[in-house]
Amino acid sequence: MNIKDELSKISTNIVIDEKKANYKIVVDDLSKLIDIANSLKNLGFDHVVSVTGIDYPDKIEVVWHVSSYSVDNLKGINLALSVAVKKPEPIKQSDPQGNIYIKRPPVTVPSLVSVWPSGIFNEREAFEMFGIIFEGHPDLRYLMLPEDFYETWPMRKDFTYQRAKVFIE
Amino acid sequence: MNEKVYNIDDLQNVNVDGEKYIILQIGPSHPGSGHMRIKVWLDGDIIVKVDPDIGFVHRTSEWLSERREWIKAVPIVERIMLPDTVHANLAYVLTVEKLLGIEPPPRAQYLRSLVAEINRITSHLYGIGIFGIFLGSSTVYMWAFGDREPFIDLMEMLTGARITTSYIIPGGVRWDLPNGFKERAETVLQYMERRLKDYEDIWVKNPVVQARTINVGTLKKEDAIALGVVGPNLRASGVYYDTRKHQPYAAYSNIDFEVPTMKNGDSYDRLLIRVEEIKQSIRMIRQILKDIPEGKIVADQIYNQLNPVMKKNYEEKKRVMFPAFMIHMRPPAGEAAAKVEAGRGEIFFYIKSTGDKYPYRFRWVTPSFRNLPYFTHVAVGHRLADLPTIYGSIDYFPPEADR
Amino acid sequence: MADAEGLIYLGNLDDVAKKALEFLNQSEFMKKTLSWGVDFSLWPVHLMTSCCGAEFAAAASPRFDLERLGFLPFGGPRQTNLIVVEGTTTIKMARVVKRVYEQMPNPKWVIAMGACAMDGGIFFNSYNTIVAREYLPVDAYVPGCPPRPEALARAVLLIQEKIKREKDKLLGVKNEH
Repeated sequence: MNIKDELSKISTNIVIDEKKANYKIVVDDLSKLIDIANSLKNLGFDHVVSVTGIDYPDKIEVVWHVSSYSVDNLKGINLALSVAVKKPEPIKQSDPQGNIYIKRPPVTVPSLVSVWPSGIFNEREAFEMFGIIFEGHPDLRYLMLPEDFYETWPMRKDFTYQRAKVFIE
Repeated sequence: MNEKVYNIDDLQNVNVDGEKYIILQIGPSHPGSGHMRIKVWLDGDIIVKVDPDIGFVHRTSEWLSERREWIKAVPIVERIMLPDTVHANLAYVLTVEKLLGIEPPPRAQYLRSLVAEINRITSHLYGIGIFGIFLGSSTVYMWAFGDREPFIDLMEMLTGARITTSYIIPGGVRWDLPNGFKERAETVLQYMERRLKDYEDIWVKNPVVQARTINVGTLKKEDAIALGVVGPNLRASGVYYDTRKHQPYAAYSNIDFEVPTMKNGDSYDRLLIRVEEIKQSIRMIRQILKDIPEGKIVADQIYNQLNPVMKKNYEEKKRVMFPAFMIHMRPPAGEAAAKVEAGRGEIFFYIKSTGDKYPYRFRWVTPSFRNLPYFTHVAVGHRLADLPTIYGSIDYFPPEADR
Repeated sequence: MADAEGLIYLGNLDDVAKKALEFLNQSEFMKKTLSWGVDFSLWPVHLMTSCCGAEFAAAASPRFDLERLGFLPFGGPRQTNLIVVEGTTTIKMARVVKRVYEQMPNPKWVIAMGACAMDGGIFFNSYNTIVAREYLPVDAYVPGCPPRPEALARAVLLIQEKIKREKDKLLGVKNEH
């Protein structure tokens, strides 16, 4: 089985760098994402290694890394499945004291937990770190951060914090 | 269980099939749960639902690494996986080497495998010792932690530090094999082989241990694949997968070793597989010390950049100080991913570079984080008293999961 | 025998007992005995805050064997009198550490183990970490990243010296709980 041919059947937009062992499928259309994921699963990619976001100035790229435990010649491949969504403009809000807060709205992508259940904790982490709402995730809650970080999305590049706000009871 | 909280609001919220469950919060100040809180819904003492509440040791290693020079991420990733430092170091360096496009010389590859295998033994002994505590056997904890020390001494002899070695640098390793290392290693390995027999007598084949672990926390092969668990836990469920075999790094393509797998996938198999892997590691260390080729320990690209004092030091002592010029390292733009089989499972690194002073995106997933589904899926249906057994058998290390 | 007012030949029994206790409490012998007893029963609460816990476990293992100094990790906070902050504490963990510290009976001591507990270490500018002295009164610091088990033993010895030095403070400590 030639992995390159098999992948090109699934999607036309593939990036392969043999030297670094990089295989990447770039999904242009959000609605196609679940179909592509399903066909990858049928090919033999049976678990998610990592789900993460990459924050760019204008967009957020969501990357699923998948691999295989069951098909022998796929065991050595780390396939990235990437989709980019445009970031909404930040909203300026002010409270009664006159402080101005910049609220950065989250972005929305379809969840792939229905295809790969192994991504459930990874998607929760990407949600709290980047503000990516995974539509269809069964249990999208904060995983690691305490409530102090509600809607701050710390892994975004424009995140700032103030130490003075830390409060230990 | 020292912390017992009955939250009345939650009790009223959870109402599955008209029944009310007791909610028990285990941890985070409990020796049986370490740095995490496990929220358990109980029907009588049968576990109905488990919700692991992690993040008590979330030290934001990704965020920090994106704001530091490339080489400064090495100590950060080491601190996250403290019993497994060499593997974290190795995985990060492999990813950076892919971006830089440099290849370490064969002797350095062998030294990497050597220190990684020594580290794997210490990591497994750590896991076995903690499992002993969970089952209430402090003898095994004392034994395992005592027997871990000779291997830590070997690491100290080779790298200069007990645990946080920072031994592997892009393009090679820092120190060469010291004099007398082979003899010392052979003594330690023979000692460990003798001790493994004792372990089997008093711990592995102990009827009490067998009664508490066999058929407890079983994860079937299909479920293990679907949930994406890693490492010895995956192989205990019968899946033949080892990153050392399937994506070889360091010198593993030249080393002859077996990947032990088990059939049942219960807590006892997860204990047995760690003992088997220690045996394989002992075999690998012997091979490496026998076959290790002569030559340089850093790649030419790195060696040529050393200053005359460091070159002289290298010729005399066969040691490279942590080279200061690496602070200016700027890997070319691109992205790279690498996997390493650590003691607890597979580490995954995904780094995106824009050719800048700092990594643009630094993503890593640790084995304990990927073993989290064990709590939510495996513990359900067991008695509460079996939860420590399951927790101990998966060798979960919370700082590693939280990153 | 006492009459209806509680008087015996020597006077009121309550007063006598109080006076006798006061006398004993202020005697040098009693103070020495008490501090000797306390400094060899430093029981740390088994609360791991971070990765230095691995070296903490090694310190309790046979090679270093801190139990010979009376250092025996214990599960429940009510039975302990020492808390070792092992390395970084995150904000989420600091609240737990503080609560555990408040549950411990007086007198109690604090060791901040590792560079992160002292001054942040390599995680000093993280948004989620906090150093131990900001929320606990620290008695001894152990430098190192992670400190060797010997360094932790040194800190235990320092605490023992402190107990001997401040033996007056051991008596009459009241628990708020």
